[in-house]
Amino acid sequence: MTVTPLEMLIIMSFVASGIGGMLGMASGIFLVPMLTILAHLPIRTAIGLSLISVVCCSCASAPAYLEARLTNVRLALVLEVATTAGALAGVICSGLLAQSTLYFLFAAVMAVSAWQMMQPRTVEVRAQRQRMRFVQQLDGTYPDRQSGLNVSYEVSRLPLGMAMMFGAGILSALLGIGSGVLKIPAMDNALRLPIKVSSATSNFMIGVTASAGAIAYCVSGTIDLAQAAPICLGSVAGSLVGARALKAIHPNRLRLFFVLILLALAIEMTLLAVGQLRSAIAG
Amino acid sequence: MTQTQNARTVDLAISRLLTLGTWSATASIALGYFINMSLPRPMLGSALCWLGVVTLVMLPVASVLTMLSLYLRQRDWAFVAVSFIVLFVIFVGSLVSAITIR
Repeated sequence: MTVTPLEMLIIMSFVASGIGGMLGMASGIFLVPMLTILAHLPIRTAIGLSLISVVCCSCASAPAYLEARLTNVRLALVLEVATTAGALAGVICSGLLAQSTLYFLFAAVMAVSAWQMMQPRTVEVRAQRQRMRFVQQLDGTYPDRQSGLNVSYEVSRLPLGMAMMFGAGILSALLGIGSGVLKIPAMDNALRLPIKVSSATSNFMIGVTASAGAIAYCVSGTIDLAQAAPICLGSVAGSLVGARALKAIHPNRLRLFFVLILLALAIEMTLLAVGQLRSAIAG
Repeated sequence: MTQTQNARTVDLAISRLLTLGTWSATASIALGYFINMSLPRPMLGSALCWLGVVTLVMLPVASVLTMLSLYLRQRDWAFVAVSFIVLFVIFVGSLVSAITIR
């Protein structure tokens, strides 16, 4: 039995989104290497398709978090000013960078993500200094299932958080990823949000950021809609299955396995980058 | 209405929009493939797939538009301005990027 290119795209996006969903991440960090290494697509096409996949994952999983009152929509909107601006800067930069640079950058982000996945996430809550009235409007509460109480939290160091989000937006559009590599430290260490709130808010935000990048790629003609359609089907299905698996399986058991996969893919991407560089020098 | 009630209204409106949008877009793509494979009307099938992809890509932007309209109704001017800036950045930036990448 042979697998058609269409079926292959559905399977790859399903697997990448499923793994992402299981780990509470977007699909991009797994999908881009799959599309370049297994489907032999050019990295720019893979990045554009991955951005569409990230949008699908965010749209499919965000309603559950919104209904559970875990997403801070106001904060997401304010941070989106920085991430969408970063995303558009990233799309413009992607046209200026050589393919080998994109491969190298992707491999580096994968290695950092693998390291980040092995670190325990902690949030240090400190007494707040006097804050602007606008920032106070971003504070929120979320229902804690374990205690059954509403937990209040305050948003701090918004300018630092926004600066990091601008960087996250650039990485997202440049590499077709949700860029948790920068969003997680921004949410945990700069804004000091509770982990559940930061995961839900980040999940909602990556949809808007990736959408800004995907629209730009679509308008510029980088993305073939015939390839985008199977990616959408696989991503929606994969993220829903992954989210269900997240509830059933303890993610820490899977973490080490996926860290090893990420490192293997990072090595493969580095080799591809070296190959591109060599052929560029030879040519 | 209190700020908490207003925030809940926004949360639920976006949740409904994303749920409805994701399912209708996915159904459109699946139906498009079904038509392409089983009926001699490739144009209709491709159009449905295209519609589904565009709907999905535009859904987050639609959620920001929904926020803009709800904050306008709630007369929450600071967040009306923030929603508008996000939409403006996406719109202008997409045009600039499209020109640059070409």
